Amino acid sequence: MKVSSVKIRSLLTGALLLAMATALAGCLFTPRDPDPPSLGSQVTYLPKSEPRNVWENLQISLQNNDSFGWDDNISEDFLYVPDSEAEQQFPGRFTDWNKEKEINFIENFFTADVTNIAKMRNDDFSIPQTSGTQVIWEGVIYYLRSTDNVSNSEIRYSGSAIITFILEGTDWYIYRWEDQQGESDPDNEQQVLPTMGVLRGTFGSN
Amino acid sequence: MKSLVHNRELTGCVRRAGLWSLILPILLVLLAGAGQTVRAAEESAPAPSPSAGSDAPVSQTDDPPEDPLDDPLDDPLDDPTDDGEGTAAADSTSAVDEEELMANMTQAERAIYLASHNRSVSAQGGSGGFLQGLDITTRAGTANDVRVNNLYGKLETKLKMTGNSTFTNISEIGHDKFRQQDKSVDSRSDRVIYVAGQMLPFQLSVNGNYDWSEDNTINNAGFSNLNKRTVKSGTLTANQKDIKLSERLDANLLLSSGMSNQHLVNRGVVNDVSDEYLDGNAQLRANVARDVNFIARIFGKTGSGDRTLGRFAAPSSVGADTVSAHLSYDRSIGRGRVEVARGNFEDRYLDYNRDSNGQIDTLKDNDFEKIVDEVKTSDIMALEFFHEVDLGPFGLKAKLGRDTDELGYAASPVGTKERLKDTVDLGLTFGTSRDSVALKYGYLFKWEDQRYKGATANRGKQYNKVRQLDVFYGRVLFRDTQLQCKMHFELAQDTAENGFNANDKDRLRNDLAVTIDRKWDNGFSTDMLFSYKQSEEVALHRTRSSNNNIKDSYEISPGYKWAITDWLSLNQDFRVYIQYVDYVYSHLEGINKDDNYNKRGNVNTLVRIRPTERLEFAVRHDFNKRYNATKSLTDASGSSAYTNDSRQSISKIDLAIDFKIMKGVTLEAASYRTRDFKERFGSRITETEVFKGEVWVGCKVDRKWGNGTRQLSATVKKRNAYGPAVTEASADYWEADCWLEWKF
Repeated sequence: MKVSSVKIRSLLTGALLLAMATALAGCLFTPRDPDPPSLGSQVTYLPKSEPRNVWENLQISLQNNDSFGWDDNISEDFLYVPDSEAEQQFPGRFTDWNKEKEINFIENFFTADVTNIAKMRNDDFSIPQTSGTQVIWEGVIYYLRSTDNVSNSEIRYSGSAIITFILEGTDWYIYRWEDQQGESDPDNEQQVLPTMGVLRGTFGSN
Repeated sequence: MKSLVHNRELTGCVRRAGLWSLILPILLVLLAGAGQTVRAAEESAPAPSPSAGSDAPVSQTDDPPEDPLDDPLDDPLDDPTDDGEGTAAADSTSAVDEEELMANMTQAERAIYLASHNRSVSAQGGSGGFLQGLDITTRAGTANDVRVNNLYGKLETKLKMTGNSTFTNISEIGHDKFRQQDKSVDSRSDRVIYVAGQMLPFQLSVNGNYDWSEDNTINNAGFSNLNKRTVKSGTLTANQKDIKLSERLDANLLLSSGMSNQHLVNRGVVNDVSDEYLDGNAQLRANVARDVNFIARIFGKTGSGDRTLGRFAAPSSVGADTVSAHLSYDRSIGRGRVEVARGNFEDRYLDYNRDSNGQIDTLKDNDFEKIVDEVKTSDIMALEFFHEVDLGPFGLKAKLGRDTDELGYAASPVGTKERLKDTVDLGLTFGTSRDSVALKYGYLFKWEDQRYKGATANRGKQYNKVRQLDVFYGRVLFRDTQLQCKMHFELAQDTAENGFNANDKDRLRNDLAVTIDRKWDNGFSTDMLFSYKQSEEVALHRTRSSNNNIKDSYEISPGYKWAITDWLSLNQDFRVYIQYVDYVYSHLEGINKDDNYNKRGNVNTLVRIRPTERLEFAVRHDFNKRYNATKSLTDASGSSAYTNDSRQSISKIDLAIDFKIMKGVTLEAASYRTRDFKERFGSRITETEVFKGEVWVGCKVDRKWGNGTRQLSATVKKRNAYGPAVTEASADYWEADCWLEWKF
């Protein structure tokens, strides 16, 4: 069968462009060499074999300003739903708050010069039994104290939330985080604190 | 109340005077524009007759005085011979003539015609008085779901007047009661909108809003918080478009003014705002040569008011100005544009004290520390160049941009922030009758630097670089069969200058996807996807790098759609997927990371049956098989062995029925049941089997009567669910969305 020269030319042009693109990609898209890990100063996370470990991992991530722990413990289909007060304070900012926005928020937050103390679960919270591929924690109360190392001021957040965990393979992930309302400061019960929705609103768009 | 700032009022007045000097010329030009349009109307009209203009005595009676414009635009239907007893046919002809006359008029001529003749003629040529119609719509309903029970009502009144002018009023009321919280929200709102239509020689609209809400929440410790908000606001906007200044020069003008009054109480702290503003926007467009346009814009805004936060009160002000220039061309060298914009913004207001990151600090012991008198300033600049050209079968595109921003806070520890963002987008396309190739390269470089209030040096720049390359190749392989190949390469890099944080990181993504689609005869189509994705997370600092990993995933997904008959269709999709996760430093002692893979196989089947026009069934079955394994060893040749950790089978069947009982009434029902069987391997095998499901039955009514003036829409569903993740609230509940609408 005779193939026309136009056809050969167009195929060759396409092949050449693809080859150029691949070569260009190889040159330009090379990550930098990291430092090998220093043993003893590593951030260690719990295995994601149980929802309670996954929730605990967020606490470890917050206390070490390590975005890997946040990224690694939330599902690819993550969804955040703010409480009405955060929504009112940052109107429209939480529309379609997915994993990409969540990671952007946490990286901005950890880039700030802050020291965090977190307690992601209240002592009297009764952890639901884990079975199947989805578990819902209703009304878990978290608490975060964030100290700005520059001005030395301290901002506190506390909220009750409905957390949905999903099992993907052998690992659990946070699939949905729905903030319900701000909760009281453990040091002063009359002081009702804002939820982490306000924190997300502050750092989510930077 | 204690005023924090006293000496600001004078400077505010001086600044407002300066801004007024900017706004006033815009006002004058706007009026001149309107006047010029009126003059154009005068010039285009025939000269008034001497008898009507100079000889006629000025009437001192109740009759309106004669306007010189009356004659040239006099109603041609005002025939002195007309005795007012014309036939219906004559009336009809008159209406048509009048419509034609109105159609040939400019906006100003129409306005003068209507105003000076005091005639009630619709701009669309309809008959009737000044008031053309009144629509009143009421709607009341309820919406309930697992989260909230909501009751609402709405009343919308629309008054249509001559010249397409309208007055609309929308009142709404709502009550939300949350099912899983001790929380209720009441709300009321009212909106009025007036649009002048063609009543004036320029466009005018007036809006007024009133919003009231009370959010009452009791937290788990038993403390309640009332978040109460009342906001009243109004805006007036006037604009005049396409003011012809010369053959090649025209202008647009926009002027708007507004006020708002907010009363907010949250956590016992009052946050009141009362302010008003005025802004103006002028645009000049010049056609400097054939297909070359130059646009210059200027914008100015000034505003002032009072704010109360906690126990403090202080005046507030806002000012902004922006200038921009835009040159666009469409010539033989290609199409493109160049745009430059520069803007400044200053806002003075009472604010909560914030930390250096902008977080609001509400925990200070007293209001003196909690609340500050803030001045926020911003200086922005934007540059953009875009060019595209076609060279035979090739198309080239280039877009370059730079944005800079300087943000400053006078009181907040945030201090000043500088930002820069450069973007480059380059594109190349190539197409023949059967092949098409596209290449796109994008580069983003940005940084942010901050100098905390009182600091002597900047913190250091936080750099972010992103490079992206997209390659597309498409080819028609043979009749009705297409091949598409997409490649995406992306490298994102975060770097903190002087290492002020430990989060320096690179993220690499390489994706390749090949799809082949074919449409066969008789409603049968097939598709096939081959995909490879690689992502690499590289934390650079030694305290973070132990989690560095590379993920490689492979996917093959064939599928088909088959419309067997008009009433029967079948879709099936198959998917085989595997993802390997390799931790870069998993071989080191003390790094507790295991390389692993997860493998999935899915078969999804959907059958739709429509035996009659009224009845439709859908049956869907999803079958998933999942395997997880951990790398156990790697031999000398580099081959790896994996140990199975778990095996899981999930089988889900859905049934859905739609039955149209009668016109506008549909019975709906759906149910699903899932079996989830999982085996975990280890020192001993554990098996779990879980069943979950849901059933709901509902009815949807959508009826109209009274010539469509009354409408009932109601969807009511009863839901019951079971399974381990089902909460008390979601196990058994009603879901409803019902409303009744009445127009008159």
